Amino acid sequence: MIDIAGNTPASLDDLLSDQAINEPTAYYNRLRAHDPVYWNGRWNGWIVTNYADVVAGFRDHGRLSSDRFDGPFAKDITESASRYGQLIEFMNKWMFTKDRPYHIHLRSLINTAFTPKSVEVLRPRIRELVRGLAEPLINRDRVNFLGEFAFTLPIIVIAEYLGVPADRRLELRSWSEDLGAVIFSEAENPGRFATGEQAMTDLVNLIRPIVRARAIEPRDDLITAMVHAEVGGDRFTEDEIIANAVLMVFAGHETTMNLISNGIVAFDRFPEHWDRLGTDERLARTAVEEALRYDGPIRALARWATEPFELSGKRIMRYDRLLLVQHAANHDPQAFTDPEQFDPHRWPNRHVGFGQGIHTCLGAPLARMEAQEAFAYLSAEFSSVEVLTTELTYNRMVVSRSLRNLDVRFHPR
Amino acid sequence: MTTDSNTVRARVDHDICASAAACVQRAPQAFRLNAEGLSEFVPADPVDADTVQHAADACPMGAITVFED
Repeated sequence: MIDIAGNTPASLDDLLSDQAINEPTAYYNRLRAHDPVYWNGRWNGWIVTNYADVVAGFRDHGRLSSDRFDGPFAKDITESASRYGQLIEFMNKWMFTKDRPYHIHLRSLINTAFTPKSVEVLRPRIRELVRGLAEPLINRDRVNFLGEFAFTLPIIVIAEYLGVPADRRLELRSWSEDLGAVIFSEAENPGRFATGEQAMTDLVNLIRPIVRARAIEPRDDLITAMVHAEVGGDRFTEDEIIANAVLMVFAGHETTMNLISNGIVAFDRFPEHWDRLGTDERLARTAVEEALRYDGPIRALARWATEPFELSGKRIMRYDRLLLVQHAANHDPQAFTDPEQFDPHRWPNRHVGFGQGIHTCLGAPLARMEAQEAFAYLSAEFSSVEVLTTELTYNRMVVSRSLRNLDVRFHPR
Repeated sequence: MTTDSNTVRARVDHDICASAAACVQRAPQAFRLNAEGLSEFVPADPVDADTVQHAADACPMGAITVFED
């Protein structure tokens, strides 16, 4: 079958094509128009691009598994278990790769510690960090926004919140990238388990003494809260705390970096709302929700079927892989009016940027606050933001929507 | 007014509920997911205020407001 543009199904199957990576809205719109629940032979699974089925998929934790240690995603990992013991053992305690009932144990405990309320107390510190990072951007012709602002803010925030040394942020980033390669990249990086093993070992060696110290001498940080978390007599083990602190270092900065930088690109394209962000608190909040919808940091997340069932007329078989494409759902015209418009006033905005269901992003309140404070302060300080990178390119990944470079100029008020 | 049994109620904002079900996990006697998968406050019996508050606090979306009757 050939569509009007002359594209064959082969190019529809390439989730890492230039169009898929750099113009995901156009690519996923093509996919959705062709078939919203599409069998992709190259990825060897179903690509789900309509809002209703993506939401249903995220909510259906009974039939759609997140487990990476069982089912069709497990092969690489279980084969590596004997050689890369530390990596596999700690990844096996990450809440987002586990199903119920183990997931309930981890998530119920962390839900007592990492909450919108506990995060809200960080707002003044985040504001202070934003101010400090924004100051050197004044009167500059060209700013490396990723390196100087969008990376630095979230890595310091998550490090301080956890209680790990923020001055080791460059190492934290490097280790996180090595772990990201294990989780998100497919087979093209054969060395990723060896570097992942080293990264995990280094992170565990950094965090274990902190966990032990907090058990004796509590501080006002998340690791302390995890050490003392208790629900109906259930508690974390030491290794579970370490594993999920590693996860939060890794998950807590790259995604927020991409949220803030993708949002800046959106404001460059739709500049008319920038002016009021700094003075209208409600607008700063809805603008972040719209940034999550319009070009959020996560494109898609994968699941696999634990039993056969029907999805929009398609017969899903046991062990079938499904890719739930959040970026596509967030641009589905059946769910959003004028989805290609970046409208910071949009409300309600039931985007799926944080997923849905039992694995809904734990860090959502923190990511929201960092982006709200960043956009509000930058817009109060600067009359406009101008993207200088002539051709924006994104990292070739199925899961993340992450820029390679973002040079900008902030114009003074 | 004290926050004794039967004196608190909760409202779930369905514009922001993400079906995370943290509330259902924490207080199954007070919250359940409706047919659309969204959380509702439907206490079968009087529920103590602390339990409802803990369930509200556990919501990663901050979708639950607790108030006294």
